[in-house]
Amino acid sequence: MTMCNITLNGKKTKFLPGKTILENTRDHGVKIPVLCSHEALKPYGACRLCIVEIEEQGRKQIVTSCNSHVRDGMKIKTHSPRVQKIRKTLVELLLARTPEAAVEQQLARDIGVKATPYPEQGELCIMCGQCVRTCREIVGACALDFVHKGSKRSVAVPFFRDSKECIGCGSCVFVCPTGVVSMHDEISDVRGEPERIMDKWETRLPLQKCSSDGNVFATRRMLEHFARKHEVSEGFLETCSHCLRKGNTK
Amino acid sequence: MDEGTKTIIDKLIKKHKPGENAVVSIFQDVQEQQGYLSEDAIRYVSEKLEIPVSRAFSVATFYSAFSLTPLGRNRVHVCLGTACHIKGADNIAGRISRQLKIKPGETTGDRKFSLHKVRCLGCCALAPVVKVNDDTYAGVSQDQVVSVLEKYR
Ligand code: SF4
Ligand code: FES
Ligand code: FES
Repeated sequence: MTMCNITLNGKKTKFLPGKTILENTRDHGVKIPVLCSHEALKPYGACRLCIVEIEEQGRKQIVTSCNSHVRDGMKIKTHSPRVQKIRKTLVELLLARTPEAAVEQQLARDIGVKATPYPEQGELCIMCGQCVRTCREIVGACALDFVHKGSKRSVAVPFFRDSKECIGCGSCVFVCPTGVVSMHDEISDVRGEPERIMDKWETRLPLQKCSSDGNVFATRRMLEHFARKHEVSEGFLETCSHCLRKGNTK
Repeated sequence: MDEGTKTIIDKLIKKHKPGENAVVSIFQDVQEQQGYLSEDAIRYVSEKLEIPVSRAFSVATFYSAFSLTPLGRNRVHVCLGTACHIKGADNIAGRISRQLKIKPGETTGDRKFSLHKVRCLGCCALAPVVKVNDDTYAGVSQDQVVSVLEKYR
């Protein structure tokens, strides 16, 4: 593949044309702050933190590096005064929305923001959409999406509770940068059976006990979902991976 | 879901080109014919159009033209846009609220009226403006508004 000739922060170098600016700069050891991009997900461009200044044929502009591709001859500045000024405002705005979130506080420290000048909202979700996209693109359950608009916008399962689509896999919990998505397992008061509760999605799912050692290891809906997706018999998924590895199947 | 709703939606779906883009037009028609988008209706449309329920629900909550709870038979819109605001629209809205005993965004218990705030109906010269269904009332006073609403009981 012919490489692109790039000037990165004043130094001449070569970038891979098929990759985004962000991926290329990362390969060169340059760190750009990001909040909504994840290497397993498609570029999204929501948080705007990854902005860089590019110059082509004398024209300068600010672009989000996570969803912009490189072209031959591009000059890229990842931390120019203009970029840093905008990035700082973005961090201040994000900090105002989610003052309690550890990621935001870390970002603020990194860029030298001590306090936000904007009114604090005390939210925990930054609308990065990583949970929504992971559920759609990776898991394939499509249980989550944004609802409402403007200042009321939030992430939810359809009808806000008892999702029939959520499989309780916990990918949203894992991927959420602020920790606002959580889940826990407990014994149901009603049925006396072990259940997983997706707290933010107000959804309860029965857990499956391993047919061999009796320990719970996944939600039943997760097993059904993956059995459908990967064409294994459902029975195969009744035993936890631990026992399967040891050959203890029934 | 009752068969009636199903037949209505089936008919509407046939009218539109299939695909995700049809969801808004179909919801508009369902909203008009049924007065709201029920959970059943949203689920059925998503199933028929083969889009995730979460997508359909996202659309249903995005547009203020859609309601997830049944609306009243008569929909009262009070304009609170700039011109109407200056002409005392807040008092008009307050008067209607007291009269119907509901807040904006709510529906009366007998489902005769629902009250909505709007930001400019596009006829500012007529301020303050109140719209009931498709009828527009211009330059209304607090007293007039009461008698206007009585006509729709
Ligand atoms: S819940 Fe977490 S992952 Fe989902 S949009 Fe909000 S911050 Fe992002
Ligand atoms: S990482 Fe590029 S916009 Fe969020
Ligand atoms: S402000 Fe009421 S019609 Fe324009």
